[in-house]
Amino acid sequence: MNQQQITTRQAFLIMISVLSTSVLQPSFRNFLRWAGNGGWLPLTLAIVFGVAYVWLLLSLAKRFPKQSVAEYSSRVLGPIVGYPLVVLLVATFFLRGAFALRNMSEFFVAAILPETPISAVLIVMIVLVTYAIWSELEGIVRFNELATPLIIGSFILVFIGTTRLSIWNLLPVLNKGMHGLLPVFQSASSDLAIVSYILFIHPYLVDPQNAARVGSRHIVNAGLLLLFIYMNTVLSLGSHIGAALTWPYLVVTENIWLVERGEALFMVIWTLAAFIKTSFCLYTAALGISQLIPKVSLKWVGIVLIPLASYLALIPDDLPSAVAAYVLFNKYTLFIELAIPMVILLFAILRRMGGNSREQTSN
Amino acid sequence: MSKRLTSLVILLLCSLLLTGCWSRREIENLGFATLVALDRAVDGQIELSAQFAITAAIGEGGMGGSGGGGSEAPVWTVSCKADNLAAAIEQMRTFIGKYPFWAHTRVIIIGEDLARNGISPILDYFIRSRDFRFSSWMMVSEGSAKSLLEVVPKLSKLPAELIVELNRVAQETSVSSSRSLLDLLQPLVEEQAGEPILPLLVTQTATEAPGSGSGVSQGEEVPEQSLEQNNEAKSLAMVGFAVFHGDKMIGKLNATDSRALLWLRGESKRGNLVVEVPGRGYVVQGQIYARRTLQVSQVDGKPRAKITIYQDGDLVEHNLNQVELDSAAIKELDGLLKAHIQTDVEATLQKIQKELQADVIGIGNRVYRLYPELFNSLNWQEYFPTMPIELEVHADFRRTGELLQSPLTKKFPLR
Repeated sequence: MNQQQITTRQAFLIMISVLSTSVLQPSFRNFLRWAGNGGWLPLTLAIVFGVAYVWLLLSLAKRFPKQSVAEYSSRVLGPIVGYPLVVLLVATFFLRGAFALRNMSEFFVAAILPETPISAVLIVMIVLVTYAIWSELEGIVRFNELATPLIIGSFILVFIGTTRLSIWNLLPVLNKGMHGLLPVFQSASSDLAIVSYILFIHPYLVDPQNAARVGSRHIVNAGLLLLFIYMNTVLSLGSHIGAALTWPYLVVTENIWLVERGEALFMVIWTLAAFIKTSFCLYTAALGISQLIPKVSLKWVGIVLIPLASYLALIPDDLPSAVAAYVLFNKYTLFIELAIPMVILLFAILRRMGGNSREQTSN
Repeated sequence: MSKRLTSLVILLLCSLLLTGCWSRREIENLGFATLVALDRAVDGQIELSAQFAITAAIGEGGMGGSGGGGSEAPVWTVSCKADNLAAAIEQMRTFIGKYPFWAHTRVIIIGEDLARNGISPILDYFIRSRDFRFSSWMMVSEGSAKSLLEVVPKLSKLPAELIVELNRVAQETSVSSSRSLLDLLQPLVEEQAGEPILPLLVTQTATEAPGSGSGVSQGEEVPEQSLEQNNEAKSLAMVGFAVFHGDKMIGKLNATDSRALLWLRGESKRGNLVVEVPGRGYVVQGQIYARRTLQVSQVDGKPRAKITIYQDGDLVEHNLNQVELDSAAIKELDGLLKAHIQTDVEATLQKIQKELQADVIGIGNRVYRLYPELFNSLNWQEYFPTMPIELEVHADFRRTGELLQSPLTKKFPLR
């Protein structure tokens, strides 16, 4: 295992960039389509879920402080069950990276470069993401530290500049009924569940004792950012128009009074966030594989994964198919990312492994 | 050596990314459209007219610009007909020889005939296209939209600039109000959001120009010289609203009705109001402030509405034989002002409810927001014309300008 070291703040701050890419995802409109004006309710509940989920992840990680999930899962569950579960977890990050690539490329092509083949955008991204992965964890999180104020600032500026904020757009509260709330909760929780990367990078934290406090704070911040984007969109456009648009928040941004055609600047910032998300997801996947197979270099795994992710990203023929695939993926990812740490933790407790138990000290 | 080789390979790879992109548009290949007008042709096709800026001529101050000495008009008006907007744009492109760049289009004017036949077929392109902006202002022209493009502005370089200025003035005088594409979209998309309104653009002619409004055939350039000669007497005015039912225009509101509608919608800004003082003359109030509250309630299973208008402003002129306007006189004028506004607004309300039967105030939207089940149980189109709407007006004169006395009236009493 390499000897990188990052702080817990750096580790969790990445969630802001990850969640901010919702504005580039055509699936964001589903929040408005499914829950209408009442989307704030499941989004708020998703924040609560996020905090509980971080607690679950850290409860597990703290039992094996100097190890990654790839190392202790096979010992806790046995190699036959342990390895496949970690591979499943790695696969979710790999697919998240692939979807992030597709979403960002679609946004680029639709909003800025209509005649540019999507593969051309992907090639540029392959080069950039390769560079990011070769810069390793420290490089990515430090770059994220620089980008985060810009990302947060862009959303605040858009809110200040929004011309059509109407509180009436939130009424009636549940105009789509109750049945739309669950898919929104599920989708938002799945977005937040990306924080499961902490199981892979926990051994690199220099201050793991702060992880619970810092992690909870940042997951709340990330969830609030998602809620903020949703509220800004609904208050400005209303849920009906918002649900009809491919990128509703882009239209909100196009209509701000603060800067004429300011969306060009904001698009650059959000692209930065998408680049961070893609890089980090594919880095986590590469890290997971290198932790499973210690003799394999993380960088070279990355080199293999990135074109593979690009190939997968191009499989859906059209935008509606890509969105449908992402919605389906997001739905089941939540269960995978929730179930795997729960099962490992449960077995670790039952088998008295990790923590203050004798098994942990023997390692 | 290997490091140098690697660096060289990376540099060479990077150079591949610096060649530009497929979507590049060189500035010399673009035609900057400033104004778009849409009409319904006689054969039912869409007639698209666009004004393209001639950037060199703008610098020279042509077309009635401040310089006055420019020989070339700063805009070029082109017109095309097709079954749909995409085809019309494609056709226009073959004619102008440039790629039409629509991002600078600030105003889209819809001809009355097209508006009366339904605007939803043309809106799909505007909403879907990333070239057009949701902040573009939508307007309806009285008569043909294309004919408005022939007007030669006197104090602005471009007709689009003139319309932007007219829009600002219309808002400041509360005779109309701007509506963006996004504003138009909301009532069209949301079933409960009320009916759309768009500002009405009219030509005002000092001396009627011969052959106006039909001089351009498909793919034909409008001759600049004849344009200037025929249209220098014309000017544009933005007064009133076009009222829609769904996507079809059903009627118009004049300046007085529009002012009242803006009070009812809570969008009134400024403007002068002449109040008759029976048997004595008139006073003019310059409105400074106006707002409204809309309360809806449920009585016997039916919605009711109460609109309260708060308005105040300064006395800017009067011809009363009254030297000093004391508190009692101001109180009396307040009463007259209130009655005047009440009468205007009630008349407009009557027109909206009984004649047009279009909920352009947005009462239905408020009922839906607060009592969704009640709203859904009603046929709003049938209920709105008979809905009881209570009106309350609070109007005040606050100041009397820089005169507390009328020194001229004292010396030269009005006869």
